[in-house]
Amino acid sequence: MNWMQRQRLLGYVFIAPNLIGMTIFMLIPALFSFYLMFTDWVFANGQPPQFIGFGNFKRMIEDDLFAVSVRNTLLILIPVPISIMLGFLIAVMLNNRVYFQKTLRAFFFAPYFTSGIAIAFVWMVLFQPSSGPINAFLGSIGIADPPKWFASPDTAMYAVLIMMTAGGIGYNMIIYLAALQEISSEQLEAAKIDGATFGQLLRLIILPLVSPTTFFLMITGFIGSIKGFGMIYAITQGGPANSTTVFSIFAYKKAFNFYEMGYASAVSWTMFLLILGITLIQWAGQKKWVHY
Amino acid sequence: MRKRKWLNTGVALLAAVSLTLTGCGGKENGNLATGSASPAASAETTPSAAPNKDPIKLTMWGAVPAENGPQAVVDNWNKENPDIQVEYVRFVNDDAGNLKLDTALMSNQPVDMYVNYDFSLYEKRIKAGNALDLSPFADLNVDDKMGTGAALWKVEDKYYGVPTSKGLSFVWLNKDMLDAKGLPVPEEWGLDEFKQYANVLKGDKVWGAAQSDYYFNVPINGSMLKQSQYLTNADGVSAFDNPLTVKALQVYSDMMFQDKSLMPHTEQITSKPALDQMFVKGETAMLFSTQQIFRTTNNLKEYPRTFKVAAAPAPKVNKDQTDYINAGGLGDVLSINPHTKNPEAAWKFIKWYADIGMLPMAPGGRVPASKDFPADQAISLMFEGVEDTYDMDSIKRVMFGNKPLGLSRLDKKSGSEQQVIYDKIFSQKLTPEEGAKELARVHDKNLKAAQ
Repeated sequence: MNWMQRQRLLGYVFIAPNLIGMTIFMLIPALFSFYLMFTDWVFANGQPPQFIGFGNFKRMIEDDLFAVSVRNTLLILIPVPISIMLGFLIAVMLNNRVYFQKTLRAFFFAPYFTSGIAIAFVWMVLFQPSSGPINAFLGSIGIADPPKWFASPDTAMYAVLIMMTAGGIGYNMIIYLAALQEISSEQLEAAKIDGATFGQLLRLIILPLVSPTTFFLMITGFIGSIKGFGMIYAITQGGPANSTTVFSIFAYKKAFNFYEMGYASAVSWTMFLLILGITLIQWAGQKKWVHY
Repeated sequence: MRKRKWLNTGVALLAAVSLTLTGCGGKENGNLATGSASPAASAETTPSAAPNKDPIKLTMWGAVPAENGPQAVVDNWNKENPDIQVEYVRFVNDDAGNLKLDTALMSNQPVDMYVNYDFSLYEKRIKAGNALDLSPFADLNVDDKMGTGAALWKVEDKYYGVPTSKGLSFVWLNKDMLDAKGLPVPEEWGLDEFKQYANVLKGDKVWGAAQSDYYFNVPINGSMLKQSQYLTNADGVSAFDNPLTVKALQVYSDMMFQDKSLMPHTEQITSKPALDQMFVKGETAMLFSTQQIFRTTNNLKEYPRTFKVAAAPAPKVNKDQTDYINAGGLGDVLSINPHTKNPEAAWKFIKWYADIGMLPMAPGGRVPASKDFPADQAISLMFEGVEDTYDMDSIKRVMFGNKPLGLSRLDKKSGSEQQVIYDKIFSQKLTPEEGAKELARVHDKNLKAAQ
C-alpha cells in the first residue's frame, strides 16, 4: 500500500462514523418513508403496509388541513428576507465603529445560541393577551382591544411571523459580519475618494460583494423556515383552530398523533419537493444578482 | 486502481451490513406487529415462574412519576418476592409518551406489563397483538372483583387488561374563598350554578374557575353517555347536535367573554398555565380536573397553602338532569405484553398490585378499584398528615360516593377534530348552535369512515 492509498484509506476511516450514522439514521429512514408514501401503513395496528399507489396524494388534495398547511408554510417564508435585511443592516452598523460594539453583537446573536424552545416560551409570555407586556404597552397607549396574538386564530400566524423574524436576525447578522470583514478596505476607500456617499457604498459596493452570503442565507433560511417546527409546536401545536399548522406540524400530527405513517410520509415528501422547487428557483435566479 | 475498487467495495459492504442489521430488526418488528394476542402459544413455551437461581426480571411501564408511588410499589414487591424482580419505567401519558410505549412494544424492548389510560389506545394495542388475552387466567374474576364498571374495558367480551383504580373528574374548591362569600359546598349542581359560583368568586387576579384543557366535553359527553358510549343516537348518528350541547357551549362562552370568570380557552392552550399550581396559589377559586391534583395539594412542602380544599361533583349541564353520567370509572388498566417470557410472573404481580400492592399510589389520588382492597387504609394513606387541610366530608362524598360513572368510546380522530371546533367556538368564530352542528358533522364523518 503506497502513501496515496494509505491516505485514501485514512479518508474513508475518518468519514466512516458519519457515513454509518447518516446511512442508519437518515438515508434508510428516508428511503423507507419514500416506500411508505405509496402505502396506507398505520403504525402499531398490526397490519402490514398495503400499496395504494398515489392514494395518499389524492387524500392530501382533498384534505382541507393540507391546504391550510400549504398556505401557512408559504407565509412563514416571509420572515426570511425580512430577517436577512435586518441582519444585514445591523451587521453594517456593528461593522463600523459604534459604542458597545461587542456587547451589541452578543446581544443580537444571543437568540441563536439559546434554545429555540426557551425563546418560544419568552415570546409566549410577551404575547400573553391578558397579562403580557406587549398588550400592557398597547393598552397604555390607548389601544382598547389589543390583538390576542397566539390565542386567536386571526392573529396567531402573525405572532409566529414576528417570532420567526426576530429569531433569524442574530444568525444572519453574524454571517454578514464575517462577510463584511472580507471586503477589502482599499475598495471602500477608493470609492470614498471618488466621492461615493454611504448609500452608494452600500448599494454599489457592499451589497454586490456580500451577495454570495445573501444567496446562502436565502437558501438556508427558506429551507429552515419550511422545515420549521419546534418553536411553533412548543407554543401552539398548530392551533388555535389549526391556524398555525404548517407542513411539518401537519406531518407530525398525522405520524405521531394518529400513527398514519403512509400519509405522513407523503406529506413529508411533498414538503421535500416544495423545498427542492424553491431552492432550484433561487439557484436559477442567482445568476442575475449574485456576484462571485 | 484495483486497490481503490477494494476500498469502495469495503465501504459498500459496511453500508450493506448496516442495512442488513436494520433489515433484521425490521423483520422482527413485523413479526411482533402481527403477533398473536392469544396467551396460549406464549404460555406453552414460557418457562414457569418456579423458584429459580436467577430471579425473573419484569419491566412495568406506567405514566405516574416513580416518586409518586410506583417506586414504592415495586420496592415492596421486590422485597417480598426475591424470585421475581420488577423494574418500573415511566412514560409520559401524552402522544409522544404513548408513541414511545408503542414503539417499545413493537420493537421487542423489555416491556412485560404496561398501564393503559385511554380506551382508544388500549383497543389499538389489542388489535396490534400487543395485549395478552387474560381469559386463560381463570383465578381472578375481574367483573366480580372490580365491579360492573370493569366491563367497559372488555373488548369482544374479553379482558386484555385489569382495571385497577377508580378515577373521576370533579371540581376542586378553595373552601376559604367559598366561606368568605357565604357559598355552601355544592352537592349537586349544573352549569348555571357553576357559572354563578365562578362569577361570585372571581376577584382581582383570581379566576372564578379554571379547568383542564378541553374539559367542556365533560358535561357535553356526560349528557350523551347513557344512551351510547359512542355518543350516538339510537339510529347510530352522532348525538352531539342537541340542546344540552348548545347550552353547555353558551354557558362556557359567557363565563369566558361576559363574566370573565374563566380564562378564555385559546389563551389557556397557548399560554399553558400550570392549573394545579394556580389552584394551590389561590389564583383560581375552583378547578375542574381529575384526582391527580392530589399530587400537588398533598405536597405542602413544595406547594404550601393555607386554605382548606373541598370537592364538588362535576357540574351537569342542568342541575335536574337525571340521565347524566359522570366522566370517570375504572382506569389504570394493567396489561401484559404477549411477547413477555414470563406471563405467569406478570399475572402474579398484577393480582397482587390490584389487591394490595397499589397502596403506595393512594397519596397521589389513586383510589383502588378492587373490592378486596383495604379501602380505609388507602384513604388514611391518601390524607396522611394533611387531613386538616381538606374538607373531608365533601371529599369523601365526591370521591367515594355512588354517582353513576362512565367512559366514552369516542374515537381519537373525532376527539382531535372536535378540539379544532372547540377552538373556533371559544374564539367566537362559531356560535354555540353552529358549534354543536360542527361537532356532530365531524363525528358523523368519522363514524361513516369507520364502517
